[in-house]
Amino acid sequence: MDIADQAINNVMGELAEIRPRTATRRLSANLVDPDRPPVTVRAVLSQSPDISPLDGLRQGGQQVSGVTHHMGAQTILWMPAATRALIGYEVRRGDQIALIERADGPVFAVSAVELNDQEDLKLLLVREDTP
Amino acid sequence: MSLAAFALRTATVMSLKGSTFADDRVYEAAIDPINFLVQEQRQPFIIVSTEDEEADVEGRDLNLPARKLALLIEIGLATRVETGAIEIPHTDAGLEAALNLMHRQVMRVFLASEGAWPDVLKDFTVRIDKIVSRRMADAPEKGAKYAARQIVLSVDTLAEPDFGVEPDPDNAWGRLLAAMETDPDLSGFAPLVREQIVGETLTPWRLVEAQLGLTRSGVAAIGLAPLVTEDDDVVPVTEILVDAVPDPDMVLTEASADEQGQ
Repeated sequence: MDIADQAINNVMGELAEIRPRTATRRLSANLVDPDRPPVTVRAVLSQSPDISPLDGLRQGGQQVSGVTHHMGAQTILWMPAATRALIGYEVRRGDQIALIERADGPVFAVSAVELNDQEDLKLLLVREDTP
Repeated sequence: MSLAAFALRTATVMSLKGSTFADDRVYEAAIDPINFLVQEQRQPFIIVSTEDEEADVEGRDLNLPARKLALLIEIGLATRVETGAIEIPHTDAGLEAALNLMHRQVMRVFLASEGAWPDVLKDFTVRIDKIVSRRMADAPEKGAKYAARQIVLSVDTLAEPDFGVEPDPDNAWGRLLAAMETDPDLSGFAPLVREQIVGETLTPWRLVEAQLGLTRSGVAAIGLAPLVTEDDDVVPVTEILVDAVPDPDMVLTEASADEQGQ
C-alpha cells in the first residue's frame, strides 16, 4: 500500500509549501510560527466543485430567504504517510499551503486536518487571497 | 409585483454603493452563483433583492394598499478586509466582526446618509415594521471560508403612482426619475419607467375611473363621466334643461350657472 500511495503521489502530486502560522491576538491575522519552519513536499490536490445555497452550515432558526447561491470546491491536499514523515512536525489548522508550481501561486489555509489509519495526511483547505 | 419594489431596490443599491466595505460590489439580486474561488468575488459584497410582498386591499384599491415588502440585503465576505491602516483578518472572529461593522454601515445609509439616492430611499421606506438578521457561514466543505448575513427589512413602501399622470418633480416618483436620468447606468432605463408610470395621459374623470377601478358606466353613474354619443364621441355640455315643478321651463346655462355659483 505504501508503495502504491507513493507512486500515486509521484505521478499526480505537485509541490506544496507548508507555511506554519500561529494565532496571536484576537482579531489579528495569524503570524509565521517561528518554531516550525516552512517545508516543501509533494502532495496531491483534488477539488470537487459544487454550487450551494448561501446558508451553508446554518441549522435551526428561521429559514433563510432569497435565491443566492455560491460556487465552491471542496479542496483536499493528500500526502502518503512517508511524505508526511518528512515534514517533521504536525500540520495545524490555520497553517498556510502554497502551490508553488502553479503560475498564479494559489494559497490556502488549512481548515481541518485528518489522519487515516494508514497515517496518510488529508488537509481540507480553504482559499486565501494571494499575499 | 410593483414599481415601488423596483424603486426601493434600485434606491437601496445606489445608496449602498461606496458606503460600506463592499465598495461598489453591491448587486441587484444574484441569480448566478457567487464564485468564491475567484479572488474578486471573495471580497465583501452586498446583494439586494425584494422578496415577498403582501398587501391588504380594500375594493379595487391596488395602488394604495397597506403592504409589507421584504427587502433582503445579504452581506458577506470570504477574505480579509483592508480598511486603511487596519486589517480585519480572514479568521472566524475577523469575519464575524467585519459583518457586524457592515451591518452598521448599511443602517447608516438608511438613516444618516444624504444625497439624491439616499433621499429616494427614505422616500420609499415609509415605515419599517420589522428587521431580522440571519447568520450564515461555511468553510471546509466548500473550499472557501465565508460568513454572510441576511438582513430582512419588512417595509411599508410608498403607494404605487397613479396611472396617466406625469409625476411631480418634487414628489418621490419625480425624484426617482430625476436620480435615474442623471445616472449613466440608469438614464437609458428611465424613459421606460416613466412610460410605465404615465402610459396614456388621462383626463381628470378618467383618472378617477382608474383610481377607483370603475367601469365607464360606473363612473358615469356617479356623475363624473362626460356625455358621449353612440359613437363614443364626447359631447360638450353647454346647457342643462331641468324638467321640474314649479318652474318646468328653467334653463341652466353656463352663464347662469356661473351666476348661481357667485
